[in-house]
Amino acid sequence: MKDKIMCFTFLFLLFFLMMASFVLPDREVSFSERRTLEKFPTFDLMEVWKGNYFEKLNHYLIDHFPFREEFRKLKGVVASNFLQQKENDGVFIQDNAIYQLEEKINQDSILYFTNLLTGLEEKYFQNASVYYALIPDKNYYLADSAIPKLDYSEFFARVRSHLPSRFQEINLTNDLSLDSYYRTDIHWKQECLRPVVDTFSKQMNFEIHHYPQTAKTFSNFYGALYGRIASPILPDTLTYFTSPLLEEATVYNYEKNKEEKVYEEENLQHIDSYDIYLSGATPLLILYHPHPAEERELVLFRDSFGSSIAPLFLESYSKITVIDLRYFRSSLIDYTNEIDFSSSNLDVLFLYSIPIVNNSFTLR
Amino acid sequence: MVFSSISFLYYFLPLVLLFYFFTPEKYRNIILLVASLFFYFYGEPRYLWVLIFSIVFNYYYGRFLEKRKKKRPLFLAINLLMNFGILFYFKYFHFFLDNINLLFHSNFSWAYIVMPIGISFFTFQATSYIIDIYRGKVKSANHILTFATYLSLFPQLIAGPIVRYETVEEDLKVRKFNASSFSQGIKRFVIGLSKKVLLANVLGECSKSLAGLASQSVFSYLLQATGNTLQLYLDFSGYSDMAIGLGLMFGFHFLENFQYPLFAHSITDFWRRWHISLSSWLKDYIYIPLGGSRVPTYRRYLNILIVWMITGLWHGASWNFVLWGIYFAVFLILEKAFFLKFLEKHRILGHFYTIILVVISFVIFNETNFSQLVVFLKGMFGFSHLPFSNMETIYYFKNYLIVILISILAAIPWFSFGKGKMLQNEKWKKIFSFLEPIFYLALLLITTGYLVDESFNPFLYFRF
Repeated sequence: MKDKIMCFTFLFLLFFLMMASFVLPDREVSFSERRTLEKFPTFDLMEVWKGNYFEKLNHYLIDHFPFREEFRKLKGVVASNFLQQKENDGVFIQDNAIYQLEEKINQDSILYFTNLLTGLEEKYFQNASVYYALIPDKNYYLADSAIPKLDYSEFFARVRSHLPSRFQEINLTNDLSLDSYYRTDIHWKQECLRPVVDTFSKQMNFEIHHYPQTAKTFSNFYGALYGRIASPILPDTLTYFTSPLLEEATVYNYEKNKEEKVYEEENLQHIDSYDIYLSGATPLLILYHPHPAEERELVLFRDSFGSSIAPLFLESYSKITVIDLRYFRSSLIDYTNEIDFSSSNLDVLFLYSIPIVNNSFTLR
Repeated sequence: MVFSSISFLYYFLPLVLLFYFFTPEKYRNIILLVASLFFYFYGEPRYLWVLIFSIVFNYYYGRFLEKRKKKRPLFLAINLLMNFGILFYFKYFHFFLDNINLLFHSNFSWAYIVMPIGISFFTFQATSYIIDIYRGKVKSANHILTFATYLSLFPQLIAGPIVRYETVEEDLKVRKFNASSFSQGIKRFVIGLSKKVLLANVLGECSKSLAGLASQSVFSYLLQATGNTLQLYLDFSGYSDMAIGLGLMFGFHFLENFQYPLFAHSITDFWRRWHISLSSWLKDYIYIPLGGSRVPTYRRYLNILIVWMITGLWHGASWNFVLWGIYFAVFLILEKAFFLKFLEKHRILGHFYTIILVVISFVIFNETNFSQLVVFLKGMFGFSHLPFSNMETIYYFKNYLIVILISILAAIPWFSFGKGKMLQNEKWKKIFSFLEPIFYLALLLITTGYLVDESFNPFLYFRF
């Protein structure tokens, strides 16, 4: 009898899940993992011959497996609660927040990054005031000394030592804390950026009189790190600050060749709700002040952290050119015809998070 | 296709079971053959022809050999040359060429060769079949379908165990469905799957994380070495468990391939327990034909050395595998010559001695670069002026501690001891009967969760 129960249970599970996968409709997107799911591969004899077809089929079957989210959560619960694994695949959970583990300084990457910046400065920005700031990842503020971290002081020192003295360093470490970051995401929260903006304003000599005050919120924000773990974690609330100036301001998106708003609210429904800020990952954007008091421009080289802070600078600039070198080749900058390289009223800010600097080979 | 995949577990297996059990008994080998060829094609479409060639060639060669009244060694030699020639080309040709170039400062080159998965396993099975016919130990298969089913049988096709024809000869003819056997098969399969997915893969992640540390310590090296040993054991024995379990589901009875080797009390004992199908193959088809133990002592030791160099090379075309084989040969010879009896008397001491040597052996096994091997061994034994431990090592140690402990428990036969005693008590027997299906179902669901969210799932023995 026991054997029959065992056989029945096993076969029932196998057939039930197989049939369920045939019956249940395919989903296009996994919001919890923040990615589009694999589509059923198109049959192609050459692809079959090369073995690619079955590999894609494997991915498809995994992506559309019935009750996939529940199975992922089961794994998460077993790994964290039973096996007591804090870290899994380079990501760990501490006090209901998710962190990405990184403890090795990549000297080659730092060199690549600093050479890229130096080259840009030498070629285009000899007349401009050039600044750089490194955004610490949230591990910097982790009090737990038992968790491996980068040697941050060494990291800052190495970047400094490879950049020419014309680059003015802006230190942001004292303006942020653990609470300045989302629990489920790598990014900083816009509502915590006032001290950061004040530091920039002091160091770059611009003034902010009307800091955006109107807060709008979006609950159930699951960040990038959430997609990498299977454990159940409460979502974050995403807040964005607007003002009459930001409501009126226009953003020209070069890639889409159209004007957009500073906060495209429909992007909240994207896989990555962080795309609300300046439409997320975009190669080249120009933010225009609707009523500039003076002609002062900022060229902001940035990663995704820059999206949420750039609008907060707009009050003091007539125009902000936002460049993401992960998607925009640096050698093409002069083809945009948007930057007056000879202007003495030009500020250049290289604003990059430490994880990007430590893995900078994606910058072009 | 691998057993520890969603495509196998929830699509291939149920469909094959469905077709298999709804097909009249006399046609079931056809179902198994088609399923096995598809199984191979799914993972290695370009090299299915190698397997088919091996089937056709060895089947007809077996028939030919059997019909010869005088079985001349030349007939056998031709077959072995062909089988091992193919294996040599796919597995060892580049290694051979590299060494020729190194030795003669030449510059020979050849197109990149992809090794068909499982080629070492099915070649060894095919040659054992031919040698056994030559020796008159087995009769050749009466139909190509029977032989094709034997050689390509998907449960053991790509990562063993190396099943001899005589083991499954009867099963290939008649198999009866039996709920008890099927249930045993399920349990064995689920245990193997769990060993692979819940333990070996996680240990692999642990070793990967430790290997990437910014600063190493003695403890980080020790942890990597121990983790690698446990990972290799759980990965390979897990695969063998799955193969044996699947065999039982379809009515085949494969021999055991692992008998808790990490619990051995000597290296001699270790090799009686580790990859038994390979060591017995090498013993029967190489060691004994070389004279085995019935030769003068120096010849016996030479035979051991030859066999273990071949064992090393079987595992891969690289000098570290040869070194790995020689390493074991040296200890096997030393044990035979001096202290095997001592180890058998002092088992606890023997366990420590064996596990230390085995852990070191798998450092050699895993490191193809000799200078890296030296760095690793020096680090592991504290000759690199490294701290004993550091914060990073402790972090990973804590993170994987429970997995390591469960893996150690899975590597020793504590459950077999305990189960026997427990089942003598009626009350425990009832509790056990009730909990057992729940336990296996839970394991299956948890492994499914891991497979659905998989990031690290290589089968280590596929490269052989």
